[in-house]
Amino acid sequence: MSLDLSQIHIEPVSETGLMIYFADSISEETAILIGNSCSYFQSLAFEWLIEIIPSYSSLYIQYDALQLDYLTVKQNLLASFKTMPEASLAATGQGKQIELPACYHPEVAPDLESAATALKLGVDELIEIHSSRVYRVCAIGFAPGFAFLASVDSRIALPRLSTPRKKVMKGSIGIADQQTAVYPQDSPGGWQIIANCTTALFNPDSEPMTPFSVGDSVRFKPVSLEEYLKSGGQRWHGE
Amino acid sequence: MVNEVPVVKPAIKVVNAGLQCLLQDKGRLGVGQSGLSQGGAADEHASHWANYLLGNSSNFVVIEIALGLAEFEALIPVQLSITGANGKATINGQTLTNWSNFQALPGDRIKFAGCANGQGRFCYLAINNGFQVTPTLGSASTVVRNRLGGLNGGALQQGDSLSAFECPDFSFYTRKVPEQFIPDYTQPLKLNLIEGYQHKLFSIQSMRHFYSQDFQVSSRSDRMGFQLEKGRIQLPDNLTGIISEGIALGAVQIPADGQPIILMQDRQTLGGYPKIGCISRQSLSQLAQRQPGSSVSFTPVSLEQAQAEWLVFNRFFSSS
Repeated sequence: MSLDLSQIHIEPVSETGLMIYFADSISEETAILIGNSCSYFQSLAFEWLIEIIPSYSSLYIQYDALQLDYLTVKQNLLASFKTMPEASLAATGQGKQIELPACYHPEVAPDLESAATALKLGVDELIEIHSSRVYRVCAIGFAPGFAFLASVDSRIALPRLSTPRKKVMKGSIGIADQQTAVYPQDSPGGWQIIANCTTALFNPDSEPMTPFSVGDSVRFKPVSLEEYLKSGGQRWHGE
Repeated sequence: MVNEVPVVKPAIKVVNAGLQCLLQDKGRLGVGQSGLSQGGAADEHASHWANYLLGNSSNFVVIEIALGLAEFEALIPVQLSITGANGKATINGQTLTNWSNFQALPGDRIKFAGCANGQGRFCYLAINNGFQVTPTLGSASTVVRNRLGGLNGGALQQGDSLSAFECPDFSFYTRKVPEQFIPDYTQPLKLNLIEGYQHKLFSIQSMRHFYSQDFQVSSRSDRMGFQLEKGRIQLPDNLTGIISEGIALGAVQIPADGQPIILMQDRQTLGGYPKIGCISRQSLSQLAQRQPGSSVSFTPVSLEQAQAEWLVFNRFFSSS
């Protein structure tokens, strides 16, 4: 699959904002194309480009309306799609491959055992299924550095908790429906927590602030509780 | 002495930090793809005028004072200005005129006694050449939720000292914002809506009904979003969620109960609720000042008209 320009819709949403819609459903190909388009637009360093927020099937763009009006920005974007290199148009990820250590253990992950029971799987099977797949970063949001990864094997898809936790511990790896993600900071949240990752995923002082970009691929590598604690991991202390 | 290069010194001490005093500028732009909120002054109209009164650029750092509760002490001679909600500000007990500038000398106490019921939410205090704060990721704007900006990622605290340039008294003259630009926050508000996002999925009847209703600002309103109540819009059948997408400033989000939420400066970057468009930036500034219980309604506006108004506003302030 490659980028089909006729599928793209550009629509204004505010005095300074527009949406580029790539598709009306979620797919890995779309996530890759959006990630590639996002990097390409940034490489062009448009002076009028203020903010660019990729998501599953769209790109939000905030532009400087003091410099250009909506129609000119739209023309610029359409023209840029046409000059996008072949490699960016192809649905093969140019994104990074990121490996994250994951400690799957009931002492760090409060929902690991109950989730396995609910899924009628052994804990080991759940771990095997979650850690054997390569996930795609489809969106970054909700909280700084929070990457929505798709998609988990349907055998381990889990509903959100009916009552979200007030505090999910930093590094927690959760599942919600077909998605999985790591909580970069302590925060409220309702995903079912099955592991924890000690890699820092958000640091405002580093460049880039977060290791993820939309379109990147992520794989979890199981580590023992001992290794996890040695590399600074903590036992569960959420609320 | 006259030609001496001005130096940055501790200029204003926080004597009482009130409910929430935040350093704000135009916001942290270009960080949305890492999931960070932009932040920025909730009422651009008032914050821009506060800077304008002192000949500042509109992006200079000001203090946003929630519900007009705070007290400061001047440490060096400075020029200040106040705009926005009427926080019944005084200097050494003497009443200050809102939407105007004034001079403060070392030891002077500037006190905001609080906004009266319905009389606005945010007061702005600006200083000559802006408060000098080391920006985080290009902005001093405080986003408490992201623990970024301000002095250390949070609201101002009692005892904090803010730096600025000394302002010799001979440069002082009084300016006041012309009456026609001073809003009355007690009046019912018409919000200009630029239709967009999923508005086409809503029936003509439900949009028409939506425009005919009066809503009230709920108490669940803050710098992230303003929740409206006492009215609702009929959601199209089966439309409870959409694929999560980027949220523009002022987006009008419709959750399952049909009561609109208008997304403000500290909004999350992505959202999966249907949206019917965005209110204009001018409307957003006015909404930011409405206390719970205030009456608001919507009226459609064309993108061209809203953009023209936005340009006039910004060109005026960027020429200062």
